[in-house]
Amino acid sequence: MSEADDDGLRNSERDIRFGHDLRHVQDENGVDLLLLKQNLQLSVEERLLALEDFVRFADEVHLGEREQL
Amino acid sequence: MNFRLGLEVLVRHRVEFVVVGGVAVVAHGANLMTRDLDILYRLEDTNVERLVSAFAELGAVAYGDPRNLPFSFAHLNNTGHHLADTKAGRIDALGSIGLRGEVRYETVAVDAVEMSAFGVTFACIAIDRLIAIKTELGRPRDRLAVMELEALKKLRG
Repeated sequence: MSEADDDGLRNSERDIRFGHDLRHVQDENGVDLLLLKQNLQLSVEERLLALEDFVRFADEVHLGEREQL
Repeated sequence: MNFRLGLEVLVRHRVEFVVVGGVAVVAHGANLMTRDLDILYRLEDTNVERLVSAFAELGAVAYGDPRNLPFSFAHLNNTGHHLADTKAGRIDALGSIGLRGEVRYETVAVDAVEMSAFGVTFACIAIDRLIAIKTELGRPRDRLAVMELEALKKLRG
């Protein structure tokens, strides 16, 4: 790959491995739009179960931190 | 939190309520960490009795008090915020919401959205009303929810 091609890829939005353009991922407030799009594909029940899982995970982390003290 | 149990018991006892707060934010599809199910219930004698029964089945006791105090009709028959520890996790039964406690069930129920999960159907506060109330409350946590909900609205188009 020539240096010119490489620069082209780096500056291109086609290959996000060179770095995401955050304008395509977050809005002006930093809200993760991709995550919201994923959420919209879920049912209400799946959203609530995901929240339960997240709370459980947070509690386990908190418990682990307390046990280390 | 066990949303399945909390919602199933409330619905089975035919409590008239609307899900509000953080769980409503999540149910609409936005992201927010919350540990409690906030419900705005209808302040009417029969409905309050139903809520007392549902709370009894869930073993609800007043949050933050080591004496494990259960709720009676008199405790719930007012516009206050009744925070409860239950078998289903924290359930906050709200007689009113809003900055000055001026928003009642009847107002929110008008345009509430019907949602289904865990085999039950329940009412959830409309996204625009949720945004309006959280904007008025204006705490950092509310502002975060509003940003998520506004972005969600844009995505939905």
